Amino acid sequence: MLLIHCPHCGTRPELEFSYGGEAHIARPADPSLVSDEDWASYLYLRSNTKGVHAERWRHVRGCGRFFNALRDTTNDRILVTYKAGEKPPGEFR
Amino acid sequence: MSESMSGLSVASPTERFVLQADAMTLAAAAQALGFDSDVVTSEARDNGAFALLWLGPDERLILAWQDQTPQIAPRVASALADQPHSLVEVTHRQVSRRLQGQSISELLNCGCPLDLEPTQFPVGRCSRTLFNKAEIVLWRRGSNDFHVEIWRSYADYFERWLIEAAQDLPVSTL
Amino acid sequence: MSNSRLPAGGRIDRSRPLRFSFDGKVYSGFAGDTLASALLANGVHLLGRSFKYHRPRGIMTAGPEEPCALVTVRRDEARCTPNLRATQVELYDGLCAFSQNRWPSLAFDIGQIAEWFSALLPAGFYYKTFMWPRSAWHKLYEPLIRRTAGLGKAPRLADPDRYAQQYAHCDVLVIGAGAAGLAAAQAAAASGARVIICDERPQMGGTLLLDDAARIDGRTTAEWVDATLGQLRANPRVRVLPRTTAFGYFPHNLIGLSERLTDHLATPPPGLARERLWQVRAREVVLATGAIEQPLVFPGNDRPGIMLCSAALHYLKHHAVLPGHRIVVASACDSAYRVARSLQAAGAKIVQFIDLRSQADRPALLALRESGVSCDSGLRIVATRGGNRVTGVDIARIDSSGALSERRSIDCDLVLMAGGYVPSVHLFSQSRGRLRYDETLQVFVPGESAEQERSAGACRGIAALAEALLDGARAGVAAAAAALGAGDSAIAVPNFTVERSANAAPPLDVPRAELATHGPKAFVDFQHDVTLRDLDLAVREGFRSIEHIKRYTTTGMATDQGKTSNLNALHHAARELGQAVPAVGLTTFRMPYTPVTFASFAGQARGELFDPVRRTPMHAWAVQQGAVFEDVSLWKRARYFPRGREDMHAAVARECRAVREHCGIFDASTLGKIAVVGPDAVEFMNRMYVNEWSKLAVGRSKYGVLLRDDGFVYDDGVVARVAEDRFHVTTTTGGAARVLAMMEDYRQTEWSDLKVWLTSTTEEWAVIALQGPRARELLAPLVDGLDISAAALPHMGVVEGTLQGVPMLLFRVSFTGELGFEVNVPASEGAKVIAALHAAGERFGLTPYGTETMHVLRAEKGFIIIGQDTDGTLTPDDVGLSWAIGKSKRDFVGKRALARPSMQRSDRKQLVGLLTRDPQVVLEEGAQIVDTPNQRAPMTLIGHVTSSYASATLGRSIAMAVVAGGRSRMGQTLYIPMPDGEIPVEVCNPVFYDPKGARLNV
Ligand SMILES: [Zn+2]
Repeated sequence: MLLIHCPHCGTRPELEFSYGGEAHIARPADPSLVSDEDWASYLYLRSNTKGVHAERWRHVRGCGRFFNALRDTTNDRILVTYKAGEKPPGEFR
Repeated sequence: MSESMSGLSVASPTERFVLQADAMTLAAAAQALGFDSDVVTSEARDNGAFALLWLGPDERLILAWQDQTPQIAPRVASALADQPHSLVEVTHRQVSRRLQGQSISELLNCGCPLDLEPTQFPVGRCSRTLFNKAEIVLWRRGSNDFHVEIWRSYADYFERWLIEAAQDLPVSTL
Repeated sequence: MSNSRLPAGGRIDRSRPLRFSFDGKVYSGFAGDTLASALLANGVHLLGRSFKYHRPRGIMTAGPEEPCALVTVRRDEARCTPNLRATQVELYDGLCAFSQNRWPSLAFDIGQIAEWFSALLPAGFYYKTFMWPRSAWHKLYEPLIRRTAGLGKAPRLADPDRYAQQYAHCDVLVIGAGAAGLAAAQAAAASGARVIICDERPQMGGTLLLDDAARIDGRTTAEWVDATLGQLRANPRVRVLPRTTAFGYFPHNLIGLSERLTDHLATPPPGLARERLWQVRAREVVLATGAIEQPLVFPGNDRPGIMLCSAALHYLKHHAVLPGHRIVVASACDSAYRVARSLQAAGAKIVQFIDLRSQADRPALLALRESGVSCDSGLRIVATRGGNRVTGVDIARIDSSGALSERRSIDCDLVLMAGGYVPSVHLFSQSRGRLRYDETLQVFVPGESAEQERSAGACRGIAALAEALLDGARAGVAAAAAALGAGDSAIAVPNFTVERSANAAPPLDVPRAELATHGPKAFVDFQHDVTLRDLDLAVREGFRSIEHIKRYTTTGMATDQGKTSNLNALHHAARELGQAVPAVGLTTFRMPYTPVTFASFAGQARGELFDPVRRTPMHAWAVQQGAVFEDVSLWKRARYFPRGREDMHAAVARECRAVREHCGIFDASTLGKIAVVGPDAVEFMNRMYVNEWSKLAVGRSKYGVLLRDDGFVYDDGVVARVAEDRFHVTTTTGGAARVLAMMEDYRQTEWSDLKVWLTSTTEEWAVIALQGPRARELLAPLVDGLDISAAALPHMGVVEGTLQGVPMLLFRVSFTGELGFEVNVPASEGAKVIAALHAAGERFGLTPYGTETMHVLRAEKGFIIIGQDTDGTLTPDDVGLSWAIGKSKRDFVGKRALARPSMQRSDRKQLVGLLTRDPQVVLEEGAQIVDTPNQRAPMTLIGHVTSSYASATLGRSIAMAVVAGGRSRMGQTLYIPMPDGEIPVEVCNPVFYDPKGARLNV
């Protein structure tokens, strides 16, 4: 069970969180302008990173907020967490 | 119930509301309820008439203690007027439990994964969290005194578990 | 009474003699004994049969590393625990233990026939032999192997004991309470840290207690241990956990501890949990897990009566037991000399001492020889003798060509092996720390840490008492400083004055690669019966990595996780491969360190506490009405209400008729409810649901359909607009949580600019459905003057009011096709209100109905159930709901996906009705559909039955199904192939009853 730092509440046990898939995949503002192919990749294609992976978590049994985390998929370390809508901190970009 | 867990009692507010809005609006609501200011992250306050519990950055739980006539909605709704917000009654959605006694943190730790050491979870701290498979709102009112809010259909599970676990408390260090 | 028990000494309580039995024979021991020590005291060495060859096995160790002495301890039929290490089982009065893996008796075991054919059972035997034919595996090979091989049997009854679980947090967790661990805990506690110290043994102190000549700060080791533990226990910030095994090291310093609370008690107090599983989150961990002595590999090294040197010392010092009187010691390190002297002093005769290491005699050997012991350097054990206990050994010198010289036979009753100590790095390895191969010690020691953790003492190769104490204290100080955010120098490291310790010399200088002595039955892994020859075979067959050798031979894969075999196997494989040990690799250690009971992992989560059981506010009412309940997600829902001797079929038929002819009452409280509130509520609803919400007036409701962005139906429910900025959304019972989570996701992450908020109100409201032609006349008198006429409250109308003074939100909705209402009242009032409605309805023939009737009634109307008629691959059009879509909306969740070509193909599976040719035949839900039975298997499947019932209203069976291109197949005959023949069905419209909806609009 990991410890995850919620940007709102602080460090809490993984039990309180739910995983939300890859981060920074914005829903197109006007989907009708998006090609079938692009829509399919928006729906289904993910980077499956080996290494530092930007992903969404939700502190569902806590403050309820979605936020983002950079996690190294090779060792399960979470390098940093930051609020939804924000970019990763400078040193991780 | 064993002596180490000296009490599991009902602590019923007369009303409960969930208020969601931005920070300015939440502050205005706090004042309308008689608080100097809004609560900060993971804080709960009680002014005798109302309790204000931080649930999330834009979410508060408001409890009313005293009258049977509606107290929360009239005050908050009039104070917030046209400011965008959501005020939803949850009086009957959940029930309250008061847990008091010497080993009460240890008892809660039979199902709650948070560190309840007084320096880590001080008096006045509140948080939504888990008790085994049930979601609870946990509010520390005193060093050995917790207030728990739990959805009504989970209350039986919560209480049974506490009674079961009270038999097993690791009270002494042998 | 055997003379193995010495008249004095040991840490046993001679005033408390205990009786116990092993394989039905009664023996006696003392409080403070383990089962192993008590059996040895009684001269019992044969404890079990080995896994593969059924060879007799005895007690090899005195601790958790024991590979051989596995027993079943039985309190009663249900309390019967197999595979316990006799070396860890604490004796209590009346203890009843059995050997395992033998038939018909331990001393005469028929399975030993396996050994006579052991040439047939080399490494990889199972893989090679039983690969083919496949069909023989299940019928023949597996049952045969399971009967003859394997460990103890699990009891068949449910476990009657209770098991506890506990979360705990600390600054410093110290694992192991030997010299280093106690010093670490003491130092950390002195600095004010919250400390937990655990040790798997009942008595803390580890090998300190064996070193009885030593003095720490002027005190004996036992006195020092007692004083230190006294201090720790007196400190309220310290928790001391004996009998507690740290079995797993999980990410971010979460450690699993298994505490055994009652297994050592003759009569456990009723109600007391048997074990407690701790999940400890530690800021810092100090691993002080010690070192494990290794056996030597030589032919016949597995006979009962052959044990580790350290084990003999343990039995002597702890239990005052001499495991043998005529002892051969085979040693590869200095520690054996001290053990030999102790045993000698206790009255045993060392008949032969051999030091395997070199040809040259060491000073310690010369000294031992001077005391009259026959001592030799450079000799090996080349054979052992004996049946159920060793009776002698052959020793010889082996030259480089393998030729034997100086061979001689020696009679003995005990052989001791000292293969050097190996640091116990299991937990460090579990933490993903990187092990480092220490060339001098020729063992793996902790290298780079992955967690906030440090090792101290023998588990990192520091074994001498003074050094281990200091190392522990330093680790404790450093851990406390790190946990408390203080500088290292802020806390002083205590000093220890150590005198006369026998542990002075570093005992870890063992020439491991040279130690193995070839010959038949030279065992490396004693629990899985892996020999040197098996390892040789693996290398000959081309395996190069220890990970592969391990899997091929199964060495190190038994329940002891190779605590006494991994390093010997690795050194031997490396030597055979001509490679350095680190190049061959070390396998990763997995949790658990020693086996943990399943019940311990379950903890209190059994029976009623396995999952929350959610009951509605009207549950007691339903019980009174005789309801039969079913589980729907976590809820208990009334399924039907049988009267007299009715079965479900009869009850449902009666309930259905009552609703269609009079009126039914139904508890719909479990439906999910979400308050969507804020100035942008309507915009949010427009974006989430397929429907158009802008024109929905306050006081009106609509059937809403929710898709995922892939275009597939996700949920549905009636949505009411209760104010301009407020929607009351209902969801399916099972979908309540996931729908709210999905909405919250879009709200927070995609449309965070919208001023709208979501609140679950599922449990705020009790919901009572009144359905049937007489519903209005029944309800009207109760609603305190509210006008609920068809004109004032038309179908899909919503109104606030009161019901006998109770606040109410009243929906006019129908999931049955009849005139219907859903009364929403505060949950606390639900029981009262349903009783009032039920009483008032009696003269209208009001009948309680359950979910089963609800399902039939809605199926007669062709209404779908999400998750039953849909499966996450159906679009609104597939299930006939395209009418719900707001066509003019630019976007909603799922809209773009519906425009993809594959979503519009005419051969998609579509919802249809099915009528069986024989009206009495009720199809099986889930049954597959084909368009002609005249085809070969595998047939082309074109769909499946999703819902199927006997309809009392229609006097025949009905079914719903999804069928490829179903809507263009109206009137066609399709077939349902079943084991006893095909069932012909006709495709029809899924609305079976009142297709015009005349009964609704009254
Ligand atoms: Zn949070």
